[in-house]
Amino acid sequence: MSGTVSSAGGIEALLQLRRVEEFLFHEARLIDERRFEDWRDLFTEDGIYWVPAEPGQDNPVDRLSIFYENRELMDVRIRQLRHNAFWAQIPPVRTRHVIGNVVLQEGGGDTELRTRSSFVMLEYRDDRRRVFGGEARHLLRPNGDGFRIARKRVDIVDCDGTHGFMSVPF
Amino acid sequence: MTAPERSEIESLVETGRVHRRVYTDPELFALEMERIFGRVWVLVGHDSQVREPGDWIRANIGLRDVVMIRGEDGEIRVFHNRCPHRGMTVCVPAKGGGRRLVCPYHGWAFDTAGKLLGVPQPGGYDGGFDTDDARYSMAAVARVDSYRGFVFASLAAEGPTLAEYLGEISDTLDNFCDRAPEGEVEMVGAPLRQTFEGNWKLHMENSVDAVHPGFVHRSSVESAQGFIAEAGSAETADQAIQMFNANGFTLNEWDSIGIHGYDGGHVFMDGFYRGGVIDPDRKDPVFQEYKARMAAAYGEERMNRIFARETFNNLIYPNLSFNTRFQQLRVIRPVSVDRTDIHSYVFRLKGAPEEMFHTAVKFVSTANSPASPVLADDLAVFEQLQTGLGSEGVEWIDLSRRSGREEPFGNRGIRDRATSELPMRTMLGAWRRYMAAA
Repeated sequence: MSGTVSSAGGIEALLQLRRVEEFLFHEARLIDERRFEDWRDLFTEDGIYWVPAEPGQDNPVDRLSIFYENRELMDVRIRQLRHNAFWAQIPPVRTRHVIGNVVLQEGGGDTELRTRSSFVMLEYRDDRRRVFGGEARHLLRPNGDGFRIARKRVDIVDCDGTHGFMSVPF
Repeated sequence: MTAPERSEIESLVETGRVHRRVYTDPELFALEMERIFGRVWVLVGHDSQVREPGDWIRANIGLRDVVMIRGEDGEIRVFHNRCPHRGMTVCVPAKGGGRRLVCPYHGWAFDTAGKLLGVPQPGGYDGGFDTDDARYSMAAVARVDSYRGFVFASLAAEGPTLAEYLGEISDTLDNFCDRAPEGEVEMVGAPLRQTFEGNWKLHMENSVDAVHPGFVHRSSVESAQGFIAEAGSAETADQAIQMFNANGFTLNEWDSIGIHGYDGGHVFMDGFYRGGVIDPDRKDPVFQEYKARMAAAYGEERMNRIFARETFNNLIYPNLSFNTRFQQLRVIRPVSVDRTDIHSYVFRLKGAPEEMFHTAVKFVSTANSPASPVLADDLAVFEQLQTGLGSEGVEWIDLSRRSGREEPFGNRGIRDRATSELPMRTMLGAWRRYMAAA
């Protein structure tokens, strides 16, 4: 367990891990409940949501990505999710996340936290079921009692696979 | 399967209308694989994918699995990806390299020109094993040729040359490459791969359909407009938002640009991006640096001619769609009559500032990701189109908008306003000719 905060920091580290878990569960619930504006507001003003298209991809600038969105693009995506002529979402998708294997990582400095977690997202729409899964890496900044997301990177296990259209974040 | 009679095939495509079977009949799909994808020149890759001798990639020609390899003599060859021994797939990963191809099943080994080097237990064959027998080399695809680095192959031994097949549309491939100060492009990274439950022709037709954005893309257009109205300016919005917003042309504006067709089934439409970071003549320092390098490479006059060739989607029949200004190439891969995959690639302009490549990456990701606010609506519509066409209640599809109003273009082309259904008629005219030729 070396390298994890929980083994190094005793009870305070366990409490911190629990706070982070609660936050990640909350974030997933906002997506599943289609509270997309509240989800967007978890991000810092310079927050980034990124889903690479290649395993181990090291940046979104010189390789193609599935999602690479700042707050502006999240805003436009959410407007579209609320639009009554968004054909890809008629009927709208239903999702449910399961989050686990949450680990706090070192290297965030005093003002930021790095986390890794696994997820499974079930999706249903128009008599079709899909399962997405993979690892999320969050860069979190403490904010009052909670956190804000400065960066969320999601590596789905089939990132370089063939996909049908998708519209909601993981 | 007995192929339908010539007269039956010809009766499916009339002037201004087409029968729904063209999109839904599995027998016609099988015949397309034989008479279109089995005969014409199909892109298999780009030479930058196989830089070193021995480098290879897997590709498809219709439903055929092939491998494109650079030989130790520097020559690019295309083989059926099938061991001549027992039929095993020889090259299994998407790409690889080395001095030999070795079949995973019984170890038959081939050099980079496909020639058999040896087999296990040669003594088991009466008189020994003749490794020089051509039957035991990797089977070469009938013809391979390339144009400005784009490698095409044809399964037919006879037929027009690649240059003849491309005809005048080749100047859009020229423009794709000429936009690089060094006159060459290179394919970078893995493609984005999307799929939809619909016929391959639906995607090709939609790429050059200037009336659909106002309806299909209304949600992404109005979402971008809403954002821009609050932000106060389109010019400072993210490149992706400027792209969504650009689809908000009125029908009169679409009519102000042109659409062009050639009798080989190739089509291109004029560019329509205006303003900001997607403007054809950007004002920012990166673009000024790029222009300076272009002017140094070509001279002002030739550079201006290259930039004046301002197109959006360019289609090479039957299954290529590319954008010259943003270095995007889509390969449309038919899987079955109602299933199609799309592979979207991005290229780097050699000699251009690296930020030009970043703009292309952003363009291709925004327009081609399965999560694209634009593409998602297209794919959703293709699937509902396929459902609608599956109904036997109505047999014909109407494609008569602005039929008969075309003007001559170039040596053997026609042109009209972009709201014309000219591109669909052009592609289906080629379809009818290829399919009717026994």
